[in-house]
Amino acid sequence: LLSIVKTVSLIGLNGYIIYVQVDVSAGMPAWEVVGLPGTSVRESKERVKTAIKNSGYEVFSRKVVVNLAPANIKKDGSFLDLPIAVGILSSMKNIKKINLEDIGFIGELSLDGRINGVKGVLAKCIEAKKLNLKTLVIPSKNLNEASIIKGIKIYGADTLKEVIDFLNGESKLKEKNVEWKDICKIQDTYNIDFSEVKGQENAKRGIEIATAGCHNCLMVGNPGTGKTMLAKRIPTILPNLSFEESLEVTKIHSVAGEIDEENPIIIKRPYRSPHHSITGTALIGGGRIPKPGEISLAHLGVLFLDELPEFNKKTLEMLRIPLEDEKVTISRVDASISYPCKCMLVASMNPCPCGNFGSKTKKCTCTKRDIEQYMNKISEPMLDRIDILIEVPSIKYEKLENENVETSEQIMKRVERARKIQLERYKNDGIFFNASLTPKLMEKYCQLDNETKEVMKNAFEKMGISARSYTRIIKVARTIADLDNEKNIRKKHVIEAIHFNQFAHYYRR
Amino acid sequence: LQKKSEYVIIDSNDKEYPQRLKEITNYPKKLYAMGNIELLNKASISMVGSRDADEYGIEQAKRFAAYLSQKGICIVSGLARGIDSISHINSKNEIGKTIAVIASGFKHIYPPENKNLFYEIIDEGGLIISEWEPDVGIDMGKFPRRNRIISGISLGTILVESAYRSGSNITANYAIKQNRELFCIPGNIDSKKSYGPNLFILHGANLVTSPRDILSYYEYCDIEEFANEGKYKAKVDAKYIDVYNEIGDLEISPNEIALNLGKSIRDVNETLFVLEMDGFIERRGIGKFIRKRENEWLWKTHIRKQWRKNSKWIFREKSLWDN
Repeated sequence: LLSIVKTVSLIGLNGYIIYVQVDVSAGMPAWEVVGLPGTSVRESKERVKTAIKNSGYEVFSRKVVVNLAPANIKKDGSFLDLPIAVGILSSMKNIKKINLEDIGFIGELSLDGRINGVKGVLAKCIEAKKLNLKTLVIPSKNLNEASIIKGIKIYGADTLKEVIDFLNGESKLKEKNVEWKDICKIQDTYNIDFSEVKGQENAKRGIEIATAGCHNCLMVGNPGTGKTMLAKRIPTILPNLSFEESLEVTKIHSVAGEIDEENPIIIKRPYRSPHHSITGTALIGGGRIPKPGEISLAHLGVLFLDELPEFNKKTLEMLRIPLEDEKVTISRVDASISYPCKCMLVASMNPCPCGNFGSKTKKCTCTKRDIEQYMNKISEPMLDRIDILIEVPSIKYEKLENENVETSEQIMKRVERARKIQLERYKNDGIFFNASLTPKLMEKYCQLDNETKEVMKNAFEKMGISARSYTRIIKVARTIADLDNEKNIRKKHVIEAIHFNQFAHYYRR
Repeated sequence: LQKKSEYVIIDSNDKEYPQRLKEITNYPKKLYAMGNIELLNKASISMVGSRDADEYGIEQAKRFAAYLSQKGICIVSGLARGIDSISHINSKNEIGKTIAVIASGFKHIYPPENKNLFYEIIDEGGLIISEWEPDVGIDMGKFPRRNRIISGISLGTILVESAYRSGSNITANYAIKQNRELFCIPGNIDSKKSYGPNLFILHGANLVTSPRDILSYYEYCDIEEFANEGKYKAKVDAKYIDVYNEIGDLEISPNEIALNLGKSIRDVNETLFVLEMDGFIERRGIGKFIRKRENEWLWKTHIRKQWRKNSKWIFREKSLWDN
């Protein structure tokens, strides 16, 4: 007898329905799985057989054929155990009420008939809803992360027996209802704040501008001046994630299997700081079945690269296209997958290999060539993607005592307002923030008056600003004007933008 | 004077041949030149120093090369890494232009990263010379030999930074033997790279603290002119004077200025920008500012002349510098 059971699988972040077709017939006892199963699917045979037996059902010696349609896509993952088991039991008439049209199953079986948790359940639930499934049975361990989704009935099951009883209408399964507001309440606060950083007002101002316009920024400073401390606090001044954004972020993290069991829904902006020994695939994503990399995990948040020149040069160059396109496309034999990566890049570095260049207290032992080689590790195309250069000078101890320091909340209000202005302005232009302004849009939104042009011209001649810095300065000036809630770019905005654009001071080429 | 498509060959009997170079004992019989050969008989000063120069050396080399070439003096150097490159880069666009003396043929440029600089010098109206045919390759022995041309072609030699047994010391030594002036920029006594200049000063070479010292030495510029230079100094606008007063001779960051004055960081940054554009302050290190050097201290000309006599005597008596 044939039975068809549905389940949901993912290619990248997009879902598709797998029809698990099970046929149990008389003949030589055998077990065949067809439809491009991966190793973990092939192995499901023993798990399913034993789990059925230990759940109290009889396993007859029959010929079992399992087909996973569509048969041209390779399937992998242990979540197919439950649908296969349900299919077999249905074929063997253990399930009387056979209406499996609108119901999907996800779950891994253990030998005693329990259902284990699997990766990527949130993403699968969102996609199941899109694919018009009405009910979904998932492992109860994953119920926390999936219960946020409305418009589809989601049940959590502990054992195979529970599932069969539920399908026969003999008992009920666990349900959970979580509201977005409640989650926000639980994890609302950060335990770090910008007011803890003392004496680096200039750097804070630079970071405020960078976050307001989503500009990539680079911090240069001697060791121990607070670069990492500043970077860690950037998420605290970013506006909170909206519900849709939160689902998007959680989906990516769910696919990567990086979900915290207690607080599965991510409502804080992600902050990723990979170590500089990271490989290219780990950074942008990859593997035989491509998984999202650090840059995608930082989607809608901050990607912080500490000690930028220490990174492998090839790894850094891989970032070039994703930073421009705001998505990563990974092509493998099986499939070509895109992950979004709309993040803000924050990098930090020392001014020279020993770190003490320009320091008042310690002497730099590097020669000119050492410094040049160190600086050359970051290529020019990479630098072009960085709009703001923040200098973080060393500070004296007695300067650390200061009362009037702004808190993250105060800064966040200004950033939020500036971001709203930008979203309003660019709603018909297909971009979100000033950082992605194209030359054509710049002509439309960034007109300079004569006084401002004069300042620009003088600065070009006297400070040795290169032509490629021009667009960067205009973009940043636009953001500063937005922070001031002004419609036109004025002289003071351009002056401040030039102040945060002293690349020529470090990269004399 | 033999003209080829790219370069010219100057014989020692030609009038274009640098006359100062003929004064030395083993002057080259032929010179291969690319570029503006008029520079050969102009007033020129050579600058030599360490290839692995540090921050201080680079700063001084820049300052001397830029100032002297602005005043019309040609800067001669050896197209090597470090001080040599800095001297060429900072003088090639100025009135004085620059001459690079290389130790191999024109087809073999060393070091390879200076290939661009080689052609930039020619394009900007400078000159490259060599005593070797274009096909002759690079050879360690040729570098010390080339140094005699650097010192011989110029009126005097400035030694910026050199360690013990540095090639720059050879050039300085040639300058003394060839009866040319040697000017040394003193260095930090703790630094290895100050060894050369400080030891030459100890044995009577001219100590220079400003590029003007060199001009006044040759009476190239009127002393009155220097004295007047300071009188027409621009004044800082009253709006910005409080920030300007905060910036002393020690480096200070905008953070500290804002804190001391109780101003917002935005206003301070704006003021710093205006002051920098007007040339009152300059950037140093990482995000720090310093006042621009004011009127430089002048050595009186007659004292320098006294020095000149003494120093030669010392060097002739002691053959300390035979490497």
